[in-house]
Amino acid sequence: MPRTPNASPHTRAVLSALAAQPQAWRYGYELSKETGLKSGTLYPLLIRLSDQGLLESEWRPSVQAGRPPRHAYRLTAEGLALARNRAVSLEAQPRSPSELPA
Amino acid sequence: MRRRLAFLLIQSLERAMPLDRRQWVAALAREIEEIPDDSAALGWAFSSAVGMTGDAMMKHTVPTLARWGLATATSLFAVSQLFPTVLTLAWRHGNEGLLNSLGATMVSGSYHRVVPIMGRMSDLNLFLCAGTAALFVVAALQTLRRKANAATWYAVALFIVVVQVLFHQSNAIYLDIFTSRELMMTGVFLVPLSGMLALMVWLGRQDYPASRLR
Repeated sequence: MPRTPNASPHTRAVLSALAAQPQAWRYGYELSKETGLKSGTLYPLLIRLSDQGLLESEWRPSVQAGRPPRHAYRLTAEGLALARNRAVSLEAQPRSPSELPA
Repeated sequence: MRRRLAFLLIQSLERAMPLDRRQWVAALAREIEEIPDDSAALGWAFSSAVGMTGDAMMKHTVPTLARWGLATATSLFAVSQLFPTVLTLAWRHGNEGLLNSLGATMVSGSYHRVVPIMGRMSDLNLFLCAGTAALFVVAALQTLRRKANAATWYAVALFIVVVQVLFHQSNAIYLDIFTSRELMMTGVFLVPLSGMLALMVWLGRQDYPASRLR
């Protein structure tokens, strides 16, 4: 059975975090804290999403004076559509018995 | 000290990465300045080093043929690690048929040389040999699946091998010359493994098309 691309829990967590504020540029450290992913997991994911055209990235000037620019990320329109699609499909999935209300 | 170590690690990583990955490593390095805690900064750098190296190895640096070769060589190395365990267990349970088929024949001199070693093999050593073999098998599977965490499995397996050699040095040395058949098999496994590692290092130094980074 073929695997659904970008359907892993880690990827979904990153897509969900980015889709929460679609217009805002997000930074790696913030995303790591928000998703609970380590840098070694998060950045390969970001690279893959960028290579697929789902994520845009740019160096943005730092808010703090005298500091070098930071690399920031946000979803493209395609990425946002995928994130919403993943969120919808997740909600549509049947819940496990332990998650159902008593 | 920890923060300096973190920067040193990231800078080394940046030099080792293919061109299209260097800007991403620069991004990782920049984030270290935003992490208030020194230990967390070092953890960030260490995780980045493992994750990015594994990712580059599995997805970009190692072509399909080399990946299959590496996985095959690793699997054979796992068999080689399992060999002394099976041999010793066969000895302990008096399974002469298995002993003979593994090369520890009753008539040859190698058997007599092996007897005291098999008698000295501790349970811990047996467990470490079998455990390392299992870890190498997982590493080989993850390599074939292009999973970046294959590098972690290799690292853990190699760490156990080093621990085994350090704490069971005499046994470990003898394990390598258990029988002539095992020695020959190990040689056959190590040659392609070394070749694949050399190929990976060489390919890792090649440049790749610029990424989509703006």
